[in-house]
Amino acid sequence: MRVWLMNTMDDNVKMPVLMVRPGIDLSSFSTSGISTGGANALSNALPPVDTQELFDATNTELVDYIFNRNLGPQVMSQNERQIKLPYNSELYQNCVVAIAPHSTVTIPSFYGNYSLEKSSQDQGSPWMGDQDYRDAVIFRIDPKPGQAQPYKLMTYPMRYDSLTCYNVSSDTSRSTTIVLCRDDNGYIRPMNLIYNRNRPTAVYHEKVIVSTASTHGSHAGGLDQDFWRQQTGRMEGEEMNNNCYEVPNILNRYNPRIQLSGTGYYPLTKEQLRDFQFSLADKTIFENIAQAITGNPTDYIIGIKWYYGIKRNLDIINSDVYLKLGGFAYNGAGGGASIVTKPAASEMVQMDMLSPTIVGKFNNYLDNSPYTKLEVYIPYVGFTTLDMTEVIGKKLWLRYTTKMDTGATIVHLFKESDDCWEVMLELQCIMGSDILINVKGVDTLLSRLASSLYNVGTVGLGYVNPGIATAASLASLPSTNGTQHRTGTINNETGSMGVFVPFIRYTRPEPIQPANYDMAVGRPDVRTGKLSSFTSSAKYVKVGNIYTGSSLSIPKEAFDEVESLLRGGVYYA
Amino acid sequence: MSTIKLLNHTGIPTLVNKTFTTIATVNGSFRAPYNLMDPVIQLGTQAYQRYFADSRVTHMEIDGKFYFVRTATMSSNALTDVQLHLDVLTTYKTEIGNLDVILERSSNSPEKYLADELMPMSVKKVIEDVRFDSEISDKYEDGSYVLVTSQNGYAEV
Repeated sequence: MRVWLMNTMDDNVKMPVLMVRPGIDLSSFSTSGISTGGANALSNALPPVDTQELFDATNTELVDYIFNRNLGPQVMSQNERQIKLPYNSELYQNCVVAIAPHSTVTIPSFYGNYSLEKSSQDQGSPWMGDQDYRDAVIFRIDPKPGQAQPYKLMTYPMRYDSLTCYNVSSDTSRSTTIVLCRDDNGYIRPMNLIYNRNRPTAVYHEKVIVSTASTHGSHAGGLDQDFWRQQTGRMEGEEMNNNCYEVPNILNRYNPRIQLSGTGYYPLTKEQLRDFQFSLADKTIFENIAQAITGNPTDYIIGIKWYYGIKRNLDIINSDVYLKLGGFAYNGAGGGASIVTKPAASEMVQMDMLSPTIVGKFNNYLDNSPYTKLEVYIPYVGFTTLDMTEVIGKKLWLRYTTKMDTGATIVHLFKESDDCWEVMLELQCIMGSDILINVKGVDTLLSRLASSLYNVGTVGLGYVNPGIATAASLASLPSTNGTQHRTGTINNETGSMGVFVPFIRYTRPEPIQPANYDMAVGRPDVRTGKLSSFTSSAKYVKVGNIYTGSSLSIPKEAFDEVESLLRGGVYYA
Repeated sequence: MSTIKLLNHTGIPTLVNKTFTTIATVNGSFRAPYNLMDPVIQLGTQAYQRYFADSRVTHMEIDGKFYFVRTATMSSNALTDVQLHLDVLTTYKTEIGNLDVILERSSNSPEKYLADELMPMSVKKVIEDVRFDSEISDKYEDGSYVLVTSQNGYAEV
């Protein structure tokens, strides 16, 4: 369990978010300290907090802190199918909760427990039944203290591939948005944030859904916000303990190009790009462009690329702008088309892919290296070999972070750890298909492809995998179902023609176990103790050594034979 | 002169807690000189006949010790020497149980993750591919063109 600090609209404010793994029953945590009375309840619940103190707190203390202080999103659920939401009646509170269809949420409140269940009388979500969007069921709970029905249940038609942010609070002037996200596998973790100038920050991710808001009424600007400001400087991704390096949020980093506004990153549709490309071939438009710039208009094109699969993950500014080339705006004037889009808010885009849990087949040593070999096929990179012992029982998380101007991509492979994700590998590749507009672009591309050799690197934070040295230069198709690899290099052009599905390849041994193997040969054992303590259940024991130091009531010559027999293996009926 | 139990055991010699069936009780005496591990017992004619009357005799119990019967040799018309070997596992089973040991193998080892070098392994391998939960979509509607330009600021609509 971990508290994350989330970004908010205010660059200087971070919000604590509780991360819970599936299987944890939140109701088992103590919420006895929740204050339900007194006008100063909130103030009383917010003692001065030292940041370090918070992050050194125990899990229980963290849960207690978040629940009792009402500082963060308080609803989390995945596999438990039932979640509890402590409610402080002194606070105005708007929350948006996402739960899976047909699951329920129980909210203990000042007015008693409320069970909410997604059912047919709720406002329908158009994608209900669509497995791809099965998580996008949004409830809004709108408590009004003193009313008979403190909770107002609404269903929001939020389809998260439409980049729709929504106002999660009915009163933005008193609202503080807190972001909470959850993925299909039950992990609540911060993902890409959509910056929206007009609305609170919401979360957007392919499989991470939830957004929640908390309005602190008359206490807005009070101690709670002071607390959040205390979190400033503690970026998510900082080292939290000695054993784990948390996932760095690369998108949060300063964008040196885009922040100047002198470089525009414009996501375009094919129609828009076609209009743009045709305009360069139109003499009239070309001349009009040339009048607005100095030099050749094409010199102002830094890059044109097509990227597969990034649309949902684009971090955009929710404001319409005209495409600009130098000083020329494609606003319909000058013979050019009107090309309106929302520019990217970040030079980078991320894509995440989660593996199923790495599982064993034998439930013994054969599931581990070197008996079972584990490879991961990473699109645009190739195969990489992992140590089965390191990852068995865990999931892998593949994250691509791509610079959209060049396609330069860093691929992080994380492995699930006890309370976070650990960086295992840091790989490189180039993504995106170049859209060529002239021969110079072709020359540039060919030159780059000819020299494209991708190094496989490791980070000092995780371990160095000895098996990856040559993996990046290998590629294979999943349909080959064998270990034959095609050698060569993968670049953005060939990678775009490669397999897009990351997958895990297990290569397992085939043991041939004789009948009655356990009785005839036994299995390796390292237990120590009195022999009689094992022979009540074991029918066969083979002793590695006798270390008795007590007086021995067996004659030496007999003991020699006893020792010899025990080392050879003896039986008990 | 010692009392000798003629015993039968049907299991393997390396069984520690053997169960015997008593066939007969006879008299005999150790032939001097004798040692602990491989003594010779001398049986009279009557006892010898009892011994030979039942071929199931595998052990003898003499003075609280258990012996394997190895072979019998006629030493005179009236006496037969029977060569024995001390069954240390049976004789000292209590003491053996009290030994402090480090096990190397057992039939009920709880250690599933110790490599077993004795397990025969086929040269065949079984390959299984398992997809990630998501992938890079190759559909137009999921991707995007990105045009990066040099510009002098954004032009808001």
